[in-house]
Amino acid sequence: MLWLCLYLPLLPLEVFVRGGQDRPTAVACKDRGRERVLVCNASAETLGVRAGMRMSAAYALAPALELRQRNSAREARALGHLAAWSGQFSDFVSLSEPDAVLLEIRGSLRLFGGLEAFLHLVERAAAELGFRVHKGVAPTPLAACLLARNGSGVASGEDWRQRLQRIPSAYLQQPQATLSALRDMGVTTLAGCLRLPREGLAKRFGPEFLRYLDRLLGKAAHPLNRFEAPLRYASRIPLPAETDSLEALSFPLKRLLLELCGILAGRAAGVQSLVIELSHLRQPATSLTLGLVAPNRDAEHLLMLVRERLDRLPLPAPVLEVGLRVDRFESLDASSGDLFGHDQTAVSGRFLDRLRSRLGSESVDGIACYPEHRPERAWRIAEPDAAREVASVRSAARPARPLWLLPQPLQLATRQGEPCYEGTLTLLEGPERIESGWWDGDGVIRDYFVACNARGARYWVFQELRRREWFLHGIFA
Amino acid sequence: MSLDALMQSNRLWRAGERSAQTQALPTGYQALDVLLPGGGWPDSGLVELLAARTGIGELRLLMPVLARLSRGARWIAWVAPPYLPYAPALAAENLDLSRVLMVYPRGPQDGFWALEQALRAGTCAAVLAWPQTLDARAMRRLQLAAEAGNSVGFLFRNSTASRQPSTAQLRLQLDCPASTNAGEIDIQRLRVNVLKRRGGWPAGPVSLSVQPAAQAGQSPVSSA
Repeated sequence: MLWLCLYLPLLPLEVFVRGGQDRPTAVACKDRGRERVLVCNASAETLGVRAGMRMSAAYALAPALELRQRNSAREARALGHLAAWSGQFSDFVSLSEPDAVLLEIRGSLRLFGGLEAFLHLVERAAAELGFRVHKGVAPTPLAACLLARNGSGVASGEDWRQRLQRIPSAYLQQPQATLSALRDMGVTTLAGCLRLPREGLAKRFGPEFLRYLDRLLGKAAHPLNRFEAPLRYASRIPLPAETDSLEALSFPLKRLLLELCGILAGRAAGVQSLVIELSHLRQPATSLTLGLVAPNRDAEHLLMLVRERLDRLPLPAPVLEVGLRVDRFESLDASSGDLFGHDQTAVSGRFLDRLRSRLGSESVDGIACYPEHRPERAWRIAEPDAAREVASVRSAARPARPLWLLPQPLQLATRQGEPCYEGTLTLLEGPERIESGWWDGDGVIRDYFVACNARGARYWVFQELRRREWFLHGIFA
Repeated sequence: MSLDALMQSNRLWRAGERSAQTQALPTGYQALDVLLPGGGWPDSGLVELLAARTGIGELRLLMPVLARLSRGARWIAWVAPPYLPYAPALAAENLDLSRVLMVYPRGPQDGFWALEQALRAGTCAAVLAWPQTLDARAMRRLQLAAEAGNSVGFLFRNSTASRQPSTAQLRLQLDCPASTNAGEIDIQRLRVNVLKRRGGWPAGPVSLSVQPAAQAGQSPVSSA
């Protein structure tokens, strides 16, 4: 077994602002009755703000510091999403709360082209989501965590235990009291810790501590719970500042879509419908639903569709927060991910998505024949591509039909009983009697003719036999 | 760009040489095929059809080629048709309706966007459109889009457009012939003038029978 730990040192901050942020920002939490800095971003750090500092000290150093209260619920949600997203890299993912995810990767290395290529891929993908990630790789889950917390490291060779020895004991995942006690005893590294007699350690720190050390070094089994990702997705990213610019909205949207598509890849699924929610200050949120022709999990394609829609959506106010919600995952064959770009039906589906996202779903249709005698009912709007079965329904022998039909028959003026349309019409063929529909209250009795005017244009006209009125119904274009 | 590369490129034609650089699609009308470079419609690029009026068989002219293209995997896209394309008539012309795609944009701006997308997407074998106005720049964009997507765009335009220069590959003027004798009137005929073609001078006119496809039970009309 080989474990990869993805540790998110800035998670408490990243649930408020993802990616780089110029303004000094920090997250605070209560610690021993006082507000202290938990994490801060790089620009706060350059001003001298440090984790563990009291708030008053932090403000003194950086008066413009933007302070957020720690939101553990949000962190847990974000970690859950990241764990689900990790499912694309490994079939066994486990949470290491509150701020790390564990992946069993031995089985994935060959698929992704070796350890180095694999780690590079994971790191780049995580960075695209806007998370700072420290990686640790080791044969036991706890060792991987220890390496990650110590600031990235790989210990996959035979001598992996040696590599762990040098790690300062302050990084051990143990209660603060244990760590302070170790420090007071002059034990600064793991090696020092292991040199102490086991009985003494057990007496002093309890059997829990010994079990931790055994699991860390692979001397005791360490069963983990498999993380089960839910089959839906909902996440939000707050914006660093209110905006209504499409470019500024695209960044968080892209991150959400990449996360979603990573989750989908892990479940061999796709989405066919997704909801984008834009929250405003003191205004109801703007929500838009995007439907697709076929299940898809290509983040670039989805982003393009969303942008196309947003480009044409008037926003009532600047946007504070961007949300993405998918209530249903559709199954999508794992292999089709690779076929995209080559498979003709997939490409056609994307083309339809694109048209529909900009023009509206009702503006792209197919047509089909329908067995009916009334000409205006002899066709139907159909889903594009769905007309294949209906197309074979051929009507019985009958005279030619015009290529253009008028949406409504147009009543024609008559001159001495002859219908006129841009000149008197000469009747060339007909009559073709169509009498139908008496049973549904919309009956017709008509004589259809092919007619032609002096300028040579040909029309499909009929005489309504009850009232003897003439109508234009089609054009032989 | 080297001279050789220039000679290879589609953008250059040498006077006096009717080369078939693009694949030609038979029009279904022999008399027209002989006038067109390569013996048919280009399979990518723009074709301008300047019809004197609606109802002279201008759409029927395309039915043989559309029927053939609809047997392939790609769409036949109709962008903002001015009337309802009538499914029974299209089926009678042997079009596979499952490949027919109707696009109804809300305005001319969306219309141009949809037209360009359809031409460029590579998933449409043919795109039909009825643009009201189209300047030279827009035309050029569409031509490039059609070449990129390997689609043929049939643009139906008013005959007054013949006064504008065109970057289309092929430009035809469609009219109905003055009927010479009374017996002829039973058959719908279309007079086609080639105003512009790649690798050749203007040609025509030819008169084609564009009688709608009659279904079984009707006497077949020959196009002789």
